[in-house]
Amino acid sequence: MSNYEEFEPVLVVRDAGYNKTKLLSQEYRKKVQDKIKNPNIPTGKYKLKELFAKRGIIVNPDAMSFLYEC
Amino acid sequence: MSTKNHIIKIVRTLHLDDLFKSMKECWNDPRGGFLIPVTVKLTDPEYERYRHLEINWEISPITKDDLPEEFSPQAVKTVDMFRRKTFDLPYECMILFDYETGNIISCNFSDDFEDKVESEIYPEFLKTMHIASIHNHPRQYCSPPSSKNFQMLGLEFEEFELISSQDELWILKSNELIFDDETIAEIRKNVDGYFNLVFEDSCNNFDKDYLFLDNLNKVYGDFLLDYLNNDFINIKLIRRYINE
Repeated sequence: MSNYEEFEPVLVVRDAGYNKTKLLSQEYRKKVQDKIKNPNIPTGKYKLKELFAKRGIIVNPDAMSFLYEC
Repeated sequence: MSTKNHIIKIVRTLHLDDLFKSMKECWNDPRGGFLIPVTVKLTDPEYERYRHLEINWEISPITKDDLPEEFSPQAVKTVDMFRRKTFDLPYECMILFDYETGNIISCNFSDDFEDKVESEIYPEFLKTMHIASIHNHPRQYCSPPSSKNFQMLGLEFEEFELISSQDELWILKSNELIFDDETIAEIRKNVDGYFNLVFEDSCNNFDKDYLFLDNLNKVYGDFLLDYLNNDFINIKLIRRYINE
């Protein structure tokens, strides 16, 4: 019979999903706006351009009308 | 005091049911030896807590048509019962189970309303099993998997990950290839980026909170299905609408 102490455990972690209360806060929105408008952050709208390009769709991130502009 | 009286005292004190049932056989054993077939069942407190959760019989059932064909009827029942027990919970619960036998392997709850639930698993002991997990997204959380999800893509022992929300069941399957940390990080980054864009778009176009959240769930969920199913041949993501 094997002993538990002989093996390394794996920590299984599961996220609860996006918290709605947090999403509705102004602080969260500001944080997201900062992220998507910063061309130096690869998860912003410029990343979306790459994702669309993989599907054969060419987009201009700076001209995307649905993105929030101050 | 005789040996018999000693045993009766132990049984009565500790309420060892299994031992109590076997006592008659013990007394009638003609071999002259003294045999006590003791089986003491130790129950995990988290599992005990899960067992006693209230069952919601009002919600729509999970059927075999909602789940992958690999799931046995017992596993379908395990998933259906999990959803009924966790549907009204304001916090997260996760079970790991064998999708061939339906047996629950581990059970855990989130602590202090954290946004995650954890379980320490020893894969060495799961080698003969077929492991799937399911966790709930409580009502105050969005339905689709967040970018923090997808750990199962790097776990060899886990073949299916299920997420039960209020109206949907998400099924993530990846049992042919184990993804490295770099690939999982890339997936999370892309998912996070797209979520942010949809979030911002929804903020601009929907004044009412519920419309904003509905749109976010729908568009972001559609993206997940398109991205994971088309960009990776070894990942299958399924969304099932339950309460319709």
